[in-house]
This record gives sequence, C-alpha cells and structure tokens, in this order.
Amino acid sequence: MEPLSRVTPATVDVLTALLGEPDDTWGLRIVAQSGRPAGSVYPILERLERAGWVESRWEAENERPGPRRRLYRVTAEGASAARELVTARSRPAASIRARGALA
Amino acid sequence: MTPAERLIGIVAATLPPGIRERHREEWLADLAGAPEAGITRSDVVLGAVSFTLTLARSDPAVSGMSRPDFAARRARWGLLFLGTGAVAALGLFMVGALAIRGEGRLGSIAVLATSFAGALVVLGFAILATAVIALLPLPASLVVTAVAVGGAVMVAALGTLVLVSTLVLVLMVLPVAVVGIGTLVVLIARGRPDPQRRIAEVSTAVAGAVAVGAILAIGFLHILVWNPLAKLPGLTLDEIYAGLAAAGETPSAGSLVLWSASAVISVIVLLLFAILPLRVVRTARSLRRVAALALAAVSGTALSVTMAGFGMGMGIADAFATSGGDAAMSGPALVGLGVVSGIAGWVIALTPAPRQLADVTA
Repeated sequence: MEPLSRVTPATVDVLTALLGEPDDTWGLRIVAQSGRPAGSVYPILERLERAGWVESRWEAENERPGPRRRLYRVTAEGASAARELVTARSRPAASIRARGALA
Repeated sequence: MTPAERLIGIVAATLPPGIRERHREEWLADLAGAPEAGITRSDVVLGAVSFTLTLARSDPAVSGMSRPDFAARRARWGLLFLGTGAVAALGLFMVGALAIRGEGRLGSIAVLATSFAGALVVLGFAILATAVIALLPLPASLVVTAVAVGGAVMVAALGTLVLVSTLVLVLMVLPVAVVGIGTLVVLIARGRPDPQRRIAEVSTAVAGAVAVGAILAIGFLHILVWNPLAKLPGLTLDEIYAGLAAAGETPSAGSLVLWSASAVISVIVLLLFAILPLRVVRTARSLRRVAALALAAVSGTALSVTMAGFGMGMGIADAFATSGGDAAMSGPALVGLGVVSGIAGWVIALTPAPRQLADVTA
C-alpha cells in the first residue's frame, strides 16, 4: 500500500463513505453517500485502488438482475490508514451532504 | 443505444487498452442504475469525462508500460504532429499562402490552412511536454515553460532566417537537409530487420530514386519552360530568353545545380541505406525505415522546386514587370506532392506500434 500523494476534502468524504459500508459497495452508492459528484469520486476511487487502499471486483452474476456492477471495499491495510486519516481531518458528521439514499 | 451510452463509449475509447473495457462496462452499469442511486445520468457521464481527463496515464499500472517507454511513445506522437504541421506550413509558405490571405475565399482558405498547420505544431510541442513530464520528476509548469520558450526560440530563428533571406539558400538544399533529418528519424522509426523483405526494401528505395528523378525532370521543365510560358502568354520561349538577356536578368544556373546536387545526394544516401551490406546498416535497416527515407527524399526535392526556380522567377519579374510567383500549376502541384509525401514519411516513421493489453484486474 502506498501513501496518498494528495488528500482533498473529497478524498476524506469518499473514505468516510467506504468505511461506513460493512460490505462490498457499489461505486455509485459511494457517490451518493459521500455527497460528492461522480466527477470527483471516480478519479478518487481509481487513485485509492492504484495505491492499494481500496480493491474492487465485479458483482457475481446471480446477485441481481441487470448489468453487473463494480463493487469496492477498503483493504485491510487501507482501513486502518483510512480511519487515521478521517479522524485527523474529521468534519462534523452533520456536514456530510447526502444526495439520495438507497432503499 | 442512448446518447449517454454513446458518450460513455466514446470516452472509454480514449482510455489505455488495459483498463478500457473494465471502465466502459462499469460506467454503463452505473448509467443504467443511476436513477436507483438518486444520481443523474449526466453526472455519471461527467464523471467518466472527469476520470479520463485526470487519469495518470504515465503510471505503469495504468499504461501497462514503463515510464521511459511511455515517454518515448508520447515523444513519437509529439514529433509526428510537430513534423506534420511544419511540413504543411512549409508547403503553404512555398505556394504563397501568406501573400493571398486578404484575397476573398482563397485567402480565407489560406488563413484557415495556415492556422491549422500552426495548431498542429503547437499540439506537437504540447505532447512533447507531456512526454518530458512523464519521464522527469519536474514540475509540469517548469516543463511547459521550457518547451514554450524552446518553441518560441525556434520560431524566432526561422523568422530571422526569412528576414535575412538565407532561407532561400537553405531551401535549395532541402533534399539533403530533409534526408539528414530523415536519417535521424528513421533511426527511431519502429521496424525490425527482416531478411525476407530485402527485395521489397531495394524496390522501395529504387522507386524513391526514380520518383526523385522524375521530380527533377518535371522541376526543370517547370522552371525553364512551363512557368515562363505561363507567366508570359503570347511570347515564345526564345523571345522570353532573349528578353531576359536584353535586360541582363538571365539567371545563373547555380540554384538549379545546387538543387539537383542536393537531390542526387539524397538519392545516394537512400540507395546506400537500402543496399549496403555493412553490419551497422543491416541492423538499422527495415522496410518501414527505407520507405520513410524514400518519402523524405521525394518530399525534400519536391518542396524545394519553388526555391530552385527563385532566380528565374525574379529575373522574369524584373525583365517583364510580372509577379514573382508561379503561374504554371506544375509548381503548386509539386509543392502539394512534397507536403503529402513529407507527411506520409513522418507518419510511417513515427506512428507508434499498437499497444499491447496490460493485465486487466478482475
């Protein structure tokens, strides 16, 4: 796992959203939970994955009808580093914008 | 397919091959599920665009190749655009595009074409800057500034050459200059020696030599016969030359000799490259490289016809009070041939090989 070269408030929001999900999470759900636009979240997920903080996989064929989705999870190493980072740069929970929730 | 899906497909097509299909499928699935997530479809499309624009393409994990290889590949693209723009700009200069810029529709086309050539040159420099940025751990702003200053110095040097009229002399020996540049270019052109293609290599070189010979012949006819007759309809060739002699404007043969000698030297270099059995040449030779060098010789010879006939054109202008430019279509036709063959040579020499797929993560 590599350290992140750049940590923006959007990066913290994405990590917070990832840490808040117990299981592998759909990328678009992270967009919704973080309150950030997909234009911020997609590049952040790519950087996190390349640095080894996050890993992704395709959802299994039988999990749900429709095109298969890309699921993300924080790696074991990434989880502890992410918690440290989020704690260090924590924002009040109420200020995290949510733009729609899944049922 | 909806417009949004089509856009996703276009955006994904710009990604490196190793990650292209994964992200295309991911974004299309996100597009389909966007309403469920409470996200707009346009946000998904903009997300894909943002991803593509901010992707660290030089990272080996993304490109599937080492940073030096990536930088070399980028540099080839930069030189390709730079060379194409420069050849096109030179051709436009030869046909006097700048002089007609204010003259109606043709002038507008000339301005548009010159601007396009200039844009290719600027794009070439920009791509070269990204190659340097990919390779060296320097701040992007420093590299861009250095490349911009270097480009400005080159343009200023060219402008100075034009102002002191040495460009005329330089352009007369363009075949040698082009082949000299072409030799450097072919050394970085891709292509491996292949003994099975020796006949094709020699045939290509011979075809190039014949083409240069034909251009020399047509060029001589253009300068000494067709152009004078076109500029002075109603006069015979004897009357034109008598008029030049009477006005003391008979041009010397020097420019034609210089141009011809330069073309012959370029053909000798081409044939030697294709034929010499020396080990150092054999290991450098490939069909692609021979073809690029042949096109360089053809381009250099064709592009310098106008300047080879410079003295004749000016002599007729001074003796008969005509314009100094070409009147016969053979002149612009040869310049056009020079531009097309020059660009073809750049493309053959510099287009990188198709990229291999990197390992795609599950």
